[in-house]
Amino acid sequence: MKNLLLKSFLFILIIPVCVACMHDDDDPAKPVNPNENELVTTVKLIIAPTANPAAEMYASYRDLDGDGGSAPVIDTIRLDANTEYTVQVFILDETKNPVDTTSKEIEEEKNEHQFFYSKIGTYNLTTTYLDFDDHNVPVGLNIKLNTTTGFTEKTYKFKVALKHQPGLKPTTGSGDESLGETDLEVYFPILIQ
Amino acid sequence: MLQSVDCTNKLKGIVLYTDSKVPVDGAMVFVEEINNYVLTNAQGEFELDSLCAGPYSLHIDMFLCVHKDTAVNLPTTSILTIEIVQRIDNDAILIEGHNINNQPEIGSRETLEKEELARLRGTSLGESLKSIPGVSALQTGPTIFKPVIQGMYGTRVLILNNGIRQEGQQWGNEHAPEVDPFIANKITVIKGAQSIRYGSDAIGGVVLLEPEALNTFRGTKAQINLGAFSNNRAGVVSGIIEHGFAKIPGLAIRLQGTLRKGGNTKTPDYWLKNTGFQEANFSWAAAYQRNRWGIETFYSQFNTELGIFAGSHIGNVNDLINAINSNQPAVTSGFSYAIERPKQIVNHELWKNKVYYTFGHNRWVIEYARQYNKRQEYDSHKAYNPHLPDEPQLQFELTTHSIQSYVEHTVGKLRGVAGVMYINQANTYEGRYFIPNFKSNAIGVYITESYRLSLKTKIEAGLRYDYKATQSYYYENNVLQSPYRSFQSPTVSLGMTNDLNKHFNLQSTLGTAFRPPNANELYSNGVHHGAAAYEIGNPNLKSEHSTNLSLTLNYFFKKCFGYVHAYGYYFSNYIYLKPVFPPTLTVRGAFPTFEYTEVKATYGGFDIAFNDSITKHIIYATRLSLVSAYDRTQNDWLIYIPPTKWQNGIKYVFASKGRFAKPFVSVDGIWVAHKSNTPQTGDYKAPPPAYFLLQAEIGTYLTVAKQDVLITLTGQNLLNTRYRDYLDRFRYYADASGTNIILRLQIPLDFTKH
Repeated sequence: MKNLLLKSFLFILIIPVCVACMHDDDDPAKPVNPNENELVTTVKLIIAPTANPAAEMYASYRDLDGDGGSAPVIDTIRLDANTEYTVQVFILDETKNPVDTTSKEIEEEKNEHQFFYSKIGTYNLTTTYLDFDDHNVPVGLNIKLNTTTGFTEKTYKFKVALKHQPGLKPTTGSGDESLGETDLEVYFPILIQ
Repeated sequence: MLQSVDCTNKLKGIVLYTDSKVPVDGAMVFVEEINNYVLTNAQGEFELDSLCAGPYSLHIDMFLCVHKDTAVNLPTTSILTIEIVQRIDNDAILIEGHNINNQPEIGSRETLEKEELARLRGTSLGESLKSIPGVSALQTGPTIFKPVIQGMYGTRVLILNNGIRQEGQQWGNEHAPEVDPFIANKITVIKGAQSIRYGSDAIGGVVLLEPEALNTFRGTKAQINLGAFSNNRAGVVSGIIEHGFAKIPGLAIRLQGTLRKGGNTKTPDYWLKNTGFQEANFSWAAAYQRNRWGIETFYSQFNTELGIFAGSHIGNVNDLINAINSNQPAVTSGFSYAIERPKQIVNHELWKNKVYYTFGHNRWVIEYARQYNKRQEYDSHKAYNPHLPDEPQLQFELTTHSIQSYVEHTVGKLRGVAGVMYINQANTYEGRYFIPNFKSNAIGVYITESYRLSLKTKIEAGLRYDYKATQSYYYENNVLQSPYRSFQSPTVSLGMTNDLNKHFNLQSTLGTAFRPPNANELYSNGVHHGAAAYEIGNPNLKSEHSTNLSLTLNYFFKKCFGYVHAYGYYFSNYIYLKPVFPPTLTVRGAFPTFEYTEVKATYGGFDIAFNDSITKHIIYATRLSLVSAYDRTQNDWLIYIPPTKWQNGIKYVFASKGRFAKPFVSVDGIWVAHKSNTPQTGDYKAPPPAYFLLQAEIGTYLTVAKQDVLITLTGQNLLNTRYRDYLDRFRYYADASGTNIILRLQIPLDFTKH
């Protein structure tokens, strides 16, 4: 027993004889430029009146230097009263060349993502989902906006949120905003006249 | 030259300690020619018979002593007297009954070893230490524990793994120390800033993990530890085996390894999804010891993968508020061992070499160590682009080289250590920016001396000077920045111990400490995931300075003993995260923003321990800890300071009978108060209410095949109490774990025994 133990022990000892098995191959003086990573810089809404698709316009939230640093540039959404609009949402990384369209990947992972749209302030605007996942639960990359009466108040906002809900996204109904992790949450000033 | 029935020569001898001439009980006397040994008796005597005439070589070994060789020519009539020298670093243990030279001699310390440590085996370091008064753990769920000493944690607490400063990544509260506690057979916590020989920055205290001295006795010794945990269905196996070579006296090797795996933790009402872990660690060591000198080498690797509770990884503040407002996490599950995103993978490697030379009562030591630490954090969301590999969103690699040289010396009544330490570090990151790359060089010189004024009084003084220079590298708006900062300061410590009478001993210490700001405190810039906070470093921070006063009154009566330890700190420059406005606007919404800032702060508290042997069999113990910390600049309380904790236990030890030695049963009640002194702002949820946990244990030593196997069965949170702990970051999202039944086995396999 004693000899056997000793022999197996000596055998095992041969295996781990390395004293610096793990190394850092990077040079501290050459850090990674954060812009080389996957980044979401832009949320772009392409807004077209349903009756006149040629009159397309867009509103975007752009933060080209990522979190912190310079403040984001946010456009105001300007809509006409009593009009129906079709809206497409693009999520972009504009630091890459060519620009990386993250919304395509969201489309592919639609069973675990959902956009939620809400009004900040009291004004007339209805949002309707136009796209759905495999369980017929909304995704929200394509929506319809309907306006009725306009307003002159300049503090109203339109909120766009993207939730990542792996294993959590409901498979019936119209979704649940309280679940999962927020991947995007941006607020656009809005005017309806 | 053989032992034979035909030979009749006897060899009688006595083994004594050189200094004290006290006989050595249990020393091993190995006779090379007959390849056999005897042990000395309580009088230090040994006897060998049936020896043939001729020369014999003897090797004498004793625990904590320097190996001794001697020769004898038979036949001889005289009784051989052999004197052996105790190893200087441990001589105090045997001569004075306490104090180890390489630790500060005065101050408050507490040690976990033997049965006490065996009963905590199988948990992480931070969790094991929670049983010590004044020590708590800053938790991130059931798997990540960061030790808190006297209310301080992170880089204010130093961990020494086998004599080497643990250089891990302590950038956040969810970064646990990267150490396998099974390496140590003794864990000591030294409270306060007395330990200047280890560094100037041990403000809260030091955790020393010490392996057993490699035994150069000839023979093989092993130990197996097994643990099974019911709550998360975790299992732990750890083994250690060592061998002292007969052919090469003084040479010994050791191999050690630990495997841990656990699944989801269960609270009284639901499972916490993705809280499993797996860990694989190993180490090996070799030592060669001669009369005056010796060399040692030690290598260890720590590898862990930790799941982060899915409900705690949040995208922004609204997610956090949603999580807080729901009583039960939205994400629950059944039991599983699966570890999914979000998760952490952490590797730590240490290689240490030591050479020492003993002259007189002095010892000169040179140590070199290399440490490599890799930390990978996986967000719950992998990259959108499916062409990108499944990589961590954050990765840090920290490589540390340290060289130190010191002399442990005794000159008359003066004893002490003087040394110099050099540390070189390089850190790189990949993925999202949180802290910069950096290179740093640090040098420290120190001397500590203790002097016995009288039989009842001893004083100790230490002086240290540190210099640290750091160059950091990061991009700001696509432009490479490489700021250079240097920090330097002296630190001092003073201590006095007085035996007031035969019942009371008073230890008083006064010390200063200095801590250069960390890379994250200077240059972090980004969202700290999980904390739902945008953290901004302050590149102009100065070093943190503190002054620490402590008084420890130890008392010993016939049946009861214990201590009262009181301490206070004044920080002239305390670095902490202060909320700033407005919140930072990002594509994931607005984040509350915190900036590292300097304030004046005070810490104060006390720990009380009391033990009473009510009868021969019953022991009652109580432990109370209280700490409070205040920001003197903004006149507010500091956040994440441990609430008051009071633990009461009663233990019944049965008489040993037959194969069962020292069987016991114990019951403990742990009460943790509501934390009332918390800051006005900066926390998302009010501190949880007070809670009470009931714990019980039965255990015994069982003699099987001459080996004393220790078996314990522990029940934690026996009432399955629903509770949340103030220091647990998961208190925002979920309850703490429910009942946990733990079975532990410690099986020694000592083949050096007769």
